[in-house]
Amino acid sequence: MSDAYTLLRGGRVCDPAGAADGTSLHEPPRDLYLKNGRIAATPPEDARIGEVIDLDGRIVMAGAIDIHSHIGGGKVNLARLLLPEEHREHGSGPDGLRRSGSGLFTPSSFVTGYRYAEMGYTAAFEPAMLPSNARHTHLELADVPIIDKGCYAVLGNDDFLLERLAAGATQSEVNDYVAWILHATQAVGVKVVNPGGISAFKFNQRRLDLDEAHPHYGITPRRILTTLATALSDLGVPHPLHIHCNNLGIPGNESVTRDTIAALDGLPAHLTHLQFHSYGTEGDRRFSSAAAEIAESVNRSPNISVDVGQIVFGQTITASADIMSQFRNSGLASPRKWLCTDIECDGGCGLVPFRYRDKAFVNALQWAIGLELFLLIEDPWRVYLTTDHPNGGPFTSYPHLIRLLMDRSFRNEQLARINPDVAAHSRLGAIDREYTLEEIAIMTRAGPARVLGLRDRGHLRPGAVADVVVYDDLPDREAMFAAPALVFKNGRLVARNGQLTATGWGDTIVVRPEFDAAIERRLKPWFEDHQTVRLGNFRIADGEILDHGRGGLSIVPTLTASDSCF
Amino acid sequence: MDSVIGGSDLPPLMSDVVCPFCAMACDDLTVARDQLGQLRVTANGCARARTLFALPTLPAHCFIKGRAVPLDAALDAAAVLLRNAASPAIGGLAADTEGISAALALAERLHAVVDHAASDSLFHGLRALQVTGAMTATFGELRNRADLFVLFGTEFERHAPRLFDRIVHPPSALFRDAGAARGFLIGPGDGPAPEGFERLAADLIHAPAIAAALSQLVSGERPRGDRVGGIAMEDLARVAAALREARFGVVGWIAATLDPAAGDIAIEAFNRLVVTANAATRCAGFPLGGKGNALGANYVCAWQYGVPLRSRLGAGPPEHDPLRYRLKSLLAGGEVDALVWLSALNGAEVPDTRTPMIVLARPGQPLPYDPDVLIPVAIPGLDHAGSIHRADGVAALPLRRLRSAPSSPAPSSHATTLPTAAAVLTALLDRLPSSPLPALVRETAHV
Repeated sequence: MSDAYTLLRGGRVCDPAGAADGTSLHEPPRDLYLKNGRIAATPPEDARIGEVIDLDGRIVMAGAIDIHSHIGGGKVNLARLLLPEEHREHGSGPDGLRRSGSGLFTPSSFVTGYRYAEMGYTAAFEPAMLPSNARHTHLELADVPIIDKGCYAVLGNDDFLLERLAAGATQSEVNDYVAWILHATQAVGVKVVNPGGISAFKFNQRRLDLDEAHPHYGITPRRILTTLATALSDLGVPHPLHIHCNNLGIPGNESVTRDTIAALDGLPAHLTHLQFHSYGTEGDRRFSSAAAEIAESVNRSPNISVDVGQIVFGQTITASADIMSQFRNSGLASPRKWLCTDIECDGGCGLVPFRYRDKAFVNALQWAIGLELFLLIEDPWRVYLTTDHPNGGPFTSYPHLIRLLMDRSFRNEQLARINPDVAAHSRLGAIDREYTLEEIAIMTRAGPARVLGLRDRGHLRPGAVADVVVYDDLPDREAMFAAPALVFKNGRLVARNGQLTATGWGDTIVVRPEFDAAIERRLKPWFEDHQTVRLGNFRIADGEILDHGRGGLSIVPTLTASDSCF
Repeated sequence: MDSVIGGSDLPPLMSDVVCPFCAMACDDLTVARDQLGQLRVTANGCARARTLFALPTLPAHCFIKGRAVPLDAALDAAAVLLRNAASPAIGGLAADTEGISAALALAERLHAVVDHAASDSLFHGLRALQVTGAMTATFGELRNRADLFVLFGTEFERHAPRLFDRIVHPPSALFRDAGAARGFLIGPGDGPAPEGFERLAADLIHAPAIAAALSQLVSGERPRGDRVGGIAMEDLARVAAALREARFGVVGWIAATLDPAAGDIAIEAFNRLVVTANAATRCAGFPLGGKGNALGANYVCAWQYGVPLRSRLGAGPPEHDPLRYRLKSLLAGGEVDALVWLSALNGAEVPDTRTPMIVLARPGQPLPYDPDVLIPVAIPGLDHAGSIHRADGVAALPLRRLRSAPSSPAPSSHATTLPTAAAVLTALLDRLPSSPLPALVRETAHV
């Protein structure tokens, strides 16, 4: 690597996490130095400057980070196989730089990396890696170029944990197990999906509420949630428990969502695709927005962060570990084919193709509920931009969503086009708020980096990974965010004006909390007596990720008591 | 990279070894290794595993039309053949994940069609999936939960040798009595049935009708007639009742033994039966069989290109057509002018075709005649590390290197170690011109 600096001269730096350094959009333009793949401090006078790029007052942000996007692993790949029609419609050939690929809402692995990079995203997190599918997931992600990636291991429906909880396991035993899973599956966080519900479905139960006993183990979703949230807190894993609440998509589920927040009782937690969990039962159709109540609950709970899971009108596929919900919704499949799988005493997988229609009241209201959540949750550090790709729509719709958040008149034009009953049943039209560029930078960079514990990403302070995005300050924010002027990954220019210019490989981001290895003495016989893969073959060695020459491992430091925040 | 194999730092006895020789991917084998590198399965292998693990590591040469040549000369000859091809294809694809990836990258460069040797069985299931979807469960769920098995097909020894030991009657189970699973075997044959099982003799050409009748019976309807596909209606009624009463029933099938012309129709009917049974209780579909990592090859193609096998890669967007790009048909119709055949594992018999052919094969692979170019490659999971996918689709399993090349008496002797398929294919790719044509890009609008 060259020891010369790259100078990005005269950009308006929008770096909310770096604000302590005195950088904000309102400051005069300033220079940014990159060296050896990192942001560098201002060098001495005699330093060698290799390349100077004049930014002429363009806006500069850190690379964007997608905290929740289903981009790889068994269910995503089955979704590709289920819908050849999508891939027939959206394909691209090789062009000397890009590999060939296809897909819009389940893009192939190479296309996924290219599209993210072209939009100024430099990291994305696969949120639903079943431990039994971890090796497959990492094999796929090894073929996603350019961006950094990480995975959340799904726990909370795995029979080992449920059986141990029912048998009265101590918190410290659970902590050891959770830490072991994080190591063994090369994960950066833990997600719980419909706690207890996926397992209950295997015992032929079709719904499970927060305080309802599991039909076999007798424990409640509340117990699973609080035990796992406590484990991550005890272990110092920066990303708190990533929660997909019970009763996804069911009218009236807002109460279980609020009860979940209350159950956490101050423990840090992240509630994902909140839009799908913010439904009331008012009105003639018994389906209404509870966004205001949910937003208020989030506003009052500084321990809670959320991502929205905004829906976008058009064809997509819903892909979830929540087979209980997906089986319930299978009648809505469009086109009419769907897939559900019970997986390995570990979890499940449900795929239901879906078309969100702007003239359908329910879909249009879902759209409005998502936007209400964005606009009513006050602290941009705790709410992140997602469509729960592909469940609400493809990640390529983020620029459009940014415009909806930043441009009230544009938003109200869209509201006027959809099912007219929605305007009457939603407060969206009355909300004046428009996101500022700083707030967008927080919700797409600084916030996700903070809640994931990524100390050297999501900001532009010296020492940060040189993931830098330069935007033209266009009044049409959708055009601005769809095609950034320049995108640097690890200090290297990878896209210009929304077109890829170079490719490469990002890191796999993992976390490795300490634990008592004695847990393996309990796990080894469990694997031999009840599973179909041996413990030694379940565990993924570092070499399996590193030996292919496709990016390194980046280990997120665990938090210590003196380290409340950074 | 584990492309060159050497060293003799391996332990003499290895446990929890993954078997790469069928889609059950059993990972509990114990394998002994003697001083010459000869392997022997000492515990938990089926007959096929015992045979294939014990194949000697032969020093192998490359050949051009039967004449022994060094690897470089073979690669050069292969590159010439491919450079001049107008409609090349890459088939076989019996390899580990990395070998398959390298084959697909080569296909993309060549604008070649890709297909797996065992894809007929694979596409029965895939085409059914693309019409009806599916409801399935993985090995671990069935082992611990399934109290009833309705199995279409009877050749388990051949297609899923340890099915009964590992899944149907495992030593222990979490949510059922491990020894007590019962079931029905529907298909040809009249030998003794395993404990708890009953045979219902039928020609599997009638599988769609049998499954459709079972669906009706499960939902409480009475199909017309006394027999379906040779099975008495009262027998089918007993099967349906068992599916209704089971806590977790399984409808399984060996895709390779279904009607070759309409296996997809049968699997659609199985899927409908499973969904019908799930209205009141739990039930799952369960495809059995598959060899040469066929499922893995299809998965890698799907994630890298968004489309299954039987696609043409690189000539514009990936172009998938399960009928047009069936390699067996293309070969029979003389529509391929250069074939790369990859057979690093078992299950990919080299086709008897006069198409100019470059064969990458494990040593000992039977050949119908001397191909234009033959390059022996190492066996994944014996000679080098890697990964393969199991038939249930969820588990990818790690393969290890278990043996090193036999020690050579003459230190300068060539061909003492075999390259991996991935290394050979990458070396071949490096010999071909890059980016031959301007790409046809179909623009995808941002939403």
